[in-house]
Amino acid sequence: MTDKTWESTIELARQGDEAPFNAYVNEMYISRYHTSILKITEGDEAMTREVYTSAITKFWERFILRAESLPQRNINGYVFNMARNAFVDIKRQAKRNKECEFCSHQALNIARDYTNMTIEDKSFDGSSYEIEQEDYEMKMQLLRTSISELDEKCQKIINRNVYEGEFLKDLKLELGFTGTYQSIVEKKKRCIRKLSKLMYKALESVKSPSTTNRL
Amino acid sequence: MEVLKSNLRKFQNYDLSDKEIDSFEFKINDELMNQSYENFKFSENLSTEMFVPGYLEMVQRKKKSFLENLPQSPQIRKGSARIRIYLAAAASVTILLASVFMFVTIESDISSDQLVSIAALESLNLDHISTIERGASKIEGTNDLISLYKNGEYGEFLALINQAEESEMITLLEARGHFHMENYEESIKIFNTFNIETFPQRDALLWSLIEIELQLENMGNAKKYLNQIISGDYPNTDKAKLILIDLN
Repeated sequence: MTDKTWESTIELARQGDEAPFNAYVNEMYISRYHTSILKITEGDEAMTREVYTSAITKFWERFILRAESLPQRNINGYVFNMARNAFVDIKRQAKRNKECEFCSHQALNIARDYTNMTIEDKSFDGSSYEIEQEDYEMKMQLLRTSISELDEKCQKIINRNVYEGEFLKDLKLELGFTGTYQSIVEKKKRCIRKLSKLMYKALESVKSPSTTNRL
Repeated sequence: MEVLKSNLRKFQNYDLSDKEIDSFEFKINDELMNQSYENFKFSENLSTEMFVPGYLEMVQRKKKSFLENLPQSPQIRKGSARIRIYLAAAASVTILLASVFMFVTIESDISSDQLVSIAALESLNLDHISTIERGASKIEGTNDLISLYKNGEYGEFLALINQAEESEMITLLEARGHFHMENYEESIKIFNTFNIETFPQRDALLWSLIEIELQLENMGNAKKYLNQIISGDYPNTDKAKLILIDLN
């Protein structure tokens, strides 16, 4: 019965009415999850709220915002498992140095700055974000390098659509896409995924080339 | 490397299974591993934001909204608004009296045992798990098994249990299958492996235990589990209250 409620509120939320989902999430916190998560957090009430909120936000992001297929197992159990993941994630973040508190905002800032600047622009100034300038510039440079490693079409799509804001439909024929509009959208998705992989590889090589094999 | 990235992605989606999360937690304690994950997350966030500008802020806003609107836990509410308890107590008495009246009126139609069976079945949510997508032979086997269980063919169900995907739900059903076949000892033995407060489908477990204890006429244990349903505010708490009244 509860899975049906999850499913129906998720369906409504996907159609734009999130109120039933939000209400159900709150109801489930009290009736089902509070006690269980409180055990994991060893009685830390504030942490319990943070864990549940993190798990539910991820749930919302995946199953409502991105409309992923719902898990095949019992949804109540799945949410609890997400909370366990969230707890590990929160502890992991707490262990990281305080100087990295800005890290979660850094990706957003770099993406914004990149899309507002020319690639050749050397006048970038990140100090307004109160972050470590050196680290910020290093990552911006890695982004530029990663983009330069993409194939020619990807570079054009990213520079002209993402950076210059040109419409994909206007680029479609110029870039040699003779199929449907969806074909260039799919290409853009693949480019972004490739960029993500290149960026990760670049960041890892800066840190230590051998650590990734240990997980 | 492939395993690494799939685990990183699963963790970023909070999708690591119960077994995987323990092992991952151990590894992520290493500072370099933690940095690796941070790099992965950064790369994903950066590319997502470039693909959908404003995405990260939207998610952050939603999280803030969830947190702000999340109700206080029952314990905190208890401490901060004691007067509500008295009001609630008065209301409970009224509801209790009404429940007694209702129970008397339904008593001729439905017994406590039947109420327990209904609650136990509802908590199992069989309709959902039997609609899982067909694909691999194990999953098809699972669906067929659930159909056997739903049709009351418990002997065949238990004989074919190894065909199913291993899961907590299937093990719960296995324990219930033994119960239906009157193998109470085996049934309780399996249920007890799940009998911890953090077990996510605890209501299904408790209702099944109540069903067995009533069958064995262990009223003390049945009451104990009924009280756990009520104190945990699990689904079908109202049925638990009615049954308790009947047992008293």
